Amino acid sequence: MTAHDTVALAPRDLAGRVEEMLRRSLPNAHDISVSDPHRVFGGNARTAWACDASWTSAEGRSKGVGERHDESLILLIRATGSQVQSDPDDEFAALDGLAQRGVRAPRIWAQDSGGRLFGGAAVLLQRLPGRTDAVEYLHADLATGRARTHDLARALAELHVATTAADRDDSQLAGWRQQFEQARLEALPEVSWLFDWLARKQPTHTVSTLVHGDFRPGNVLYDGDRIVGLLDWEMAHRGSPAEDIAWAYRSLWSPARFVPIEEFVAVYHDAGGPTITGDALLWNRVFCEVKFATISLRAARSVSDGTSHNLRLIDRARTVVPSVAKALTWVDAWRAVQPC
Amino acid sequence: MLRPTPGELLEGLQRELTDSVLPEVPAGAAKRQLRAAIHVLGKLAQTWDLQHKYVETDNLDLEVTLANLSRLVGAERNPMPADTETGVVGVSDRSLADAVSRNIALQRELEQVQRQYQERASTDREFERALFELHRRRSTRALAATGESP
Repeated sequence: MTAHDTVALAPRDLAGRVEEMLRRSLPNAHDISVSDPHRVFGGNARTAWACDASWTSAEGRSKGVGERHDESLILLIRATGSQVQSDPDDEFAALDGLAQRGVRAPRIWAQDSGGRLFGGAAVLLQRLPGRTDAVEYLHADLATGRARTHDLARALAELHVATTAADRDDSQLAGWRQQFEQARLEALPEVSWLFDWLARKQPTHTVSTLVHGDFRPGNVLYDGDRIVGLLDWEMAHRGSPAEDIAWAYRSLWSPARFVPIEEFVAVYHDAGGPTITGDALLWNRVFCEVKFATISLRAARSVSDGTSHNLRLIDRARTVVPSVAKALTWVDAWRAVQPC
Repeated sequence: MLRPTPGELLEGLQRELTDSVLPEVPAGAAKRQLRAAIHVLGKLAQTWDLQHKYVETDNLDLEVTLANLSRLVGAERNPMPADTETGVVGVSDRSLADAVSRNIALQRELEQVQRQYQERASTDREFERALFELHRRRSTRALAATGESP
């Protein structure tokens, strides 16, 4: 069975598998029932279903009355040919417990990272209220967009404050370079040069936090001017918090129309977020363009080698060109303020 | 036989698929695929005739700059062989196929030059400036050839 085959499963069969997930994750729960899941849009990299579940927890049984839980859930199954190469176990570990620590993240109820039940790594999450629509977010009226983007900065600060630690992980750059070299369809020496530049200029003393990795207006749930939840954690990793800000302000989806990046950083700092230096931000702006270029190349390769049939990915290699142009602009800005 | 040009054909396909076919397709995966195909047709309609000149100009720039970079570090050039025998997938014109093969070889040579420079202990500002400016020119050229905006 593949993740693609899951689409053809009868809703009752799908519900049975969700029940099995919950049974394994909540061994002390009983009377588990799951409504028939219905398909919802889950992006390019996943298929998604929404359902409701109820169960009785064991805590109340000794008193003769079980505590009944009713939860709205979303089932996410990773699609084949995903342009993002990441370990589902890492994603689920990163997300696990964040909601309980005050981060605006959904709670994980169950997971099947091995893909045994659905043919692809699957996770069952708390379904948060609110809307997720990047186009609507970016076309909001100025007052709403501005207030919402201020709250976006506060939500990001909460994540970084809750996960600040002394450990560092500088493996991201090497990992993305390896992916680039595996995915490229031609040498692209300009991208190699950017990787060389990033390795030479990598900031040495920065705070380490959990980095969402795909933090942008299209990956949040919002309700009016409030951010309700952060979604899509598959690129989460430890690293510099500046990466999330640089990624959010990539020109393709930037909320700069509402709040300039400097103001976003100021609101983030006011909310207690770790210090973001100008150097760290500039370095991460270059890094984010190279990361996006690599994701684009993986997407293009997935179509050319037949692992994906998604036509939205067929010309993704073309998007490497503006990413490189933008990265060279940031490098030039860096050179303007300090010697090479 | 010049008309309709490939650009006219691509534009016509894009227009008719958008106006006549897309509204008839129900929402869902097929409609998303069709939208994506229409988008690609539009890009191709804008850029189909730019490719040959783009690759030839890029090759010339790479040749001249690689020679300059070699001179700056006092090393012999080590050109990569261009595979002009097996052809290029999706290219039927022989001279364009040769130019693409040559471009692929020049890109590999440039990457090797960069790698060798990275391994040196010393830095050469003139070399670095020439390399950076090459990447800027190639980037600007590629933006025009692919119809992308920065």
